[in-house]
Amino acid sequence: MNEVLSAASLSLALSATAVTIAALPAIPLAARLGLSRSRRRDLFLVAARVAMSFPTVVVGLVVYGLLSHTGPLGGLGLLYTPQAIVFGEIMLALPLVIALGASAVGALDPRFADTTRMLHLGGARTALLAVSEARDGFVAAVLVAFARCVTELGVALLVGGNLRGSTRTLTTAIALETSRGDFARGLHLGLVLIAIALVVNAGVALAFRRMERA
Amino acid sequence: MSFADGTVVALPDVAIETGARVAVLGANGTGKTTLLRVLAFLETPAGGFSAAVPAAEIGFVAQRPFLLRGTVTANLMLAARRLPRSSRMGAVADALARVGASHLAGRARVALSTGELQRVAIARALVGRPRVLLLDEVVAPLDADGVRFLCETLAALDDVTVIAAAPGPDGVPFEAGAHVVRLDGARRLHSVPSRS
Repeated sequence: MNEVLSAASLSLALSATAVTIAALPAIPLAARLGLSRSRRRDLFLVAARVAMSFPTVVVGLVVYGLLSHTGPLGGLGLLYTPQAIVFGEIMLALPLVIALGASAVGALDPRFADTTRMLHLGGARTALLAVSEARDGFVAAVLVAFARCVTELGVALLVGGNLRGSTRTLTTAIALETSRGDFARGLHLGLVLIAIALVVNAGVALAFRRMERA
Repeated sequence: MSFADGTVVALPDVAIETGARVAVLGANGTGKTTLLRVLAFLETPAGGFSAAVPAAEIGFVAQRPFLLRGTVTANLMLAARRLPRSSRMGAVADALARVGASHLAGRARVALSTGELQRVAIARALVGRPRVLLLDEVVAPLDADGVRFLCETLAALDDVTVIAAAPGPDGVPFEAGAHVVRLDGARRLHSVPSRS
């Protein structure tokens, strides 16, 4: 039971940290992209949507390459640490929050843009107001990013190393127990992960409902 | 004026004196809203457009106004931000009182009726102390009290030029003496003798 709690709390803490750090630049960028009508914005959004669908093991591979001893960031000594998992999960969360947030802003009432222009508001204030108007969409984007991070295996396994007590998340623990033949224990851990995913997705559904009602 | 989608509105050069009241009349689809949006610098015709009054001194009330998330006061404070900080709350309270909407100060936009939303939008346009006020079919959603407040408010704005678009004379919140221009089915603007 202790190990289950340890893995669950580690998964939640690492994913929450990664999503929080990713959201800081992603939300204002998403607002600017959502308000823009330039071709460069379209290219940026296409890139974000493609990155959203990268397999987590591929992202893990890239991050491994960066953090390994021969990689450009190898000197930081982050490989097989919780920080490495956070770094990789930031890469997973960034494109999600950008793409979904920009969609939420793009779907705002067209009169929003007219109103901000009528009030002669600058770009930064308009972006801030766009985030406020589309806040339910941004909440949904952050929750979706969190769900992706907490349920991913590729990054945690490749750059975390599945070390007991420090980098053993729920997903890597499931992989370990299954490979040991302890299917029941793996299933137990899986149920915990499903419960987390259910709660997060209930939050996403609530956020989308509030968006539709607004 | 022509636009990318092929819309064209034919306008002569027009000179409107400060403090004038101008009614732009025309049936649906004749270009009234387009004309006001151009005057408000919300749309730019392909052939360009210039006006003697800068955009920052123009107030515009749309046919279907939109309030941002937050209270009525918060929305009006955004419009008042060019005023000195010490006078903003007073300007907001004054603008709401002028349209008979003081009781709406703390309401959120979802709690406003269509008529109340229209009053608040007019107050928002007034709080910035514009030199030119553009009103796009604002009378229709208002009740009798709202129309009275609006007419009284506009009558007191001697140094503000007001241009109001409406389908017909009943939709214009002016007293006698307004200039009247009509947009016909071919989107041409014609000036007609003032109403007496």
